[in-house]
Parts: sequence; structure tokens; C-alpha cells
Amino acid sequence: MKQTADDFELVEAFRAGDEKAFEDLVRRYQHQVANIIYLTLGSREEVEDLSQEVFIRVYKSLARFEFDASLYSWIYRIAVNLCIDEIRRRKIRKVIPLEFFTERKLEEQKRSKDKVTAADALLAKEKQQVIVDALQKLSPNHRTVILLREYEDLSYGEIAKTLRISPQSVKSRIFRAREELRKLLKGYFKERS
Amino acid sequence: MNHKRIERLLSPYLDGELPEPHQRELSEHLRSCESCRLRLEELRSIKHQIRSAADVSLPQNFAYSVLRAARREKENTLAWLGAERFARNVVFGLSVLVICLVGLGTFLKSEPPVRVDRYLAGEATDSLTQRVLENQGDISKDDVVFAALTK
Repeated sequence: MKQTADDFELVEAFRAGDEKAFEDLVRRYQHQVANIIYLTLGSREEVEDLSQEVFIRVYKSLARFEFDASLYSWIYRIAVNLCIDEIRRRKIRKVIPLEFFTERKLEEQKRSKDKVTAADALLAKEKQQVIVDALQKLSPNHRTVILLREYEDLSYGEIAKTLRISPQSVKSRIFRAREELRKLLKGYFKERS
Repeated sequence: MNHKRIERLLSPYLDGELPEPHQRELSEHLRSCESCRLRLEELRSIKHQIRSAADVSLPQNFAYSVLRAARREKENTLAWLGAERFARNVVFGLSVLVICLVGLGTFLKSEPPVRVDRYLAGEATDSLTQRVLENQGDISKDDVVFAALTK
């Protein structure tokens, strides 16, 4: 896990009153936190505000952090909880079936391919959107676990510690999340092959 | 190996979380099974897609603005706590004052105790005393109960 000696030093420095250490800590993890929020919620608009909220919570509770887990998994837990609250609050799961959305996207991609000159960057963006939308179709529990695995590269044991669930639950949630994603992205895979 | 079971094992296999005998067994199976290879490839592709979709970046001064916002929130919390403590003290002070005033009022309103010499002189004016005097000094059990209840 991303536990480094520097984390410990930064936390100790912050506790001793050096607020610059907190800034360094934010810089170290802001990218991961922002992307986890983006992938979990599926929209870019609220990423900055929610990332800020995560680090404000870290700031408030850092004095009580005891290094019983890695600093990052602790920060990540804060981010995950915040996202789950946000999902519940906004009832963010979309009503439109993703299959429809994916097919529409693929048609658009085909049309843009016909034009040949269509920007590759735009196509790549659309492909990205397909996976981000697919993630939004998963339940919050499955989404969190798959992101910790696929994006953060955490082991089953680390995910279990971060989410406070058993490694067996981690294994089964990852399996189910992947199965759901496979089904949702069926059209996409066909297109690729 | 049963095919359904193999499909379940592909996920932990991809993550390197499968115990060694199964890991080897599955590797052998994959050499001869194209559909499982394809499925594994799809799972790998999902991982790749997720990672490449994570392209959000925050403004350069993000860390500084977080620190500023956190400080501001801390100051607001402290100010709120101060105001709350002040309000609590005010409520406490007012409560003490009200209790004192009620106590004082009760003390001032209470009738002075009837003294024995006034009973004997027949000067007492309160109703119980009158009743006792009317009975010419005989106090019944009912009078005692009445006295106890009205005191």
C-alpha cells in the first residue's frame, strides 16, 4: 500500500504546527482522490468541490490519525464515504439503460469513423465516457471495490482493510462488478474485435 | 475443471489472488481454451479502460486553496464554539436568576408562623387558627389532616 516514511513525517510535522506539511500531503494525493471521485460519481463538475471536502475532513481529523492503516487508505475511505453519501443524496444512478447509451455511442463512433478525419482525441473521449457511464450503472458497493482494484491497484487484503469488509466479500464483489461491466460493455467489446 | 468454475476463477487469476495450484491449473486451461482467453482479455480491457478514463486534474493552486478553506472552517468552528459557550453561560445565569427570584417571592409571600402566645390571646386571623379557637381548643383528627394538607 502507498504507505511511505514521508507520510509519517508529513503527519508529524502537521501535528507540530507546520501547515505547509499539510499542503504537501494534499499535493501528494490530490490526483488520486480527484480521479476516484470522478470515476465514482461520473461527472467532472463536482470533482474539485468534493476533493476539497475530502481534504478538509482530513485536515480536521489528522490529529487523531493513528497509523493503524496506511494514510492513503484512510484518505481513500473518507473519499469513498463522501461519494457514497453524495450518490445517496443525489440519487445519481441514471434511469436510461446503459445498453441504449452504449449503442448510441457506438453508432456515433461509427459515423465519426466514416468521416475518417474525425479527431482521434474526441473518439478516445467518447470511449472513456462509455466506461465511466458503465461504472455508474454498478451499485455503489461494486463500484467502489472495482475502482480500488482497477484504478488504485490495491490487493484484496488492502481493499478489505480500507472498506472494513472481509477479503471474501472483496473477491465476490470484484467478480460481480466485472461480470456486470462485461455485460454492459458487450457492444464495446464487439466493436473492438 | 468445470467451465463455470473457471469463469469465476478468472477474476482472482487476473489479480494474482489465486492460490498457487489453481493459478497453474488455470494457466494450463487458458492455453487450450479460446473463449476463456477472450474473457480474460475483456477483463484486462476493462482495467485498461478504467485507468485511461481517469484523466481529471485539479488546478495548480488546489492544495493552497484547500488549506485556506480548512483554516477558515476551523476559525468558524472556533467562533461558533465560543458563541455557543457564551450562550450556554447566559442561559445558566438567567436560570439561576429566575430560581433566586422565585425563591425570594415565595419567601416574601409566606405567612408568618402562628405563635402559641397569639393562639392563646385569640389574635390569630388565619382560618385554621379561627377554627381551633371556635372549637374551644378541641382539635379533631380531621382538623389535623386539614392542617397538614393546607400547610
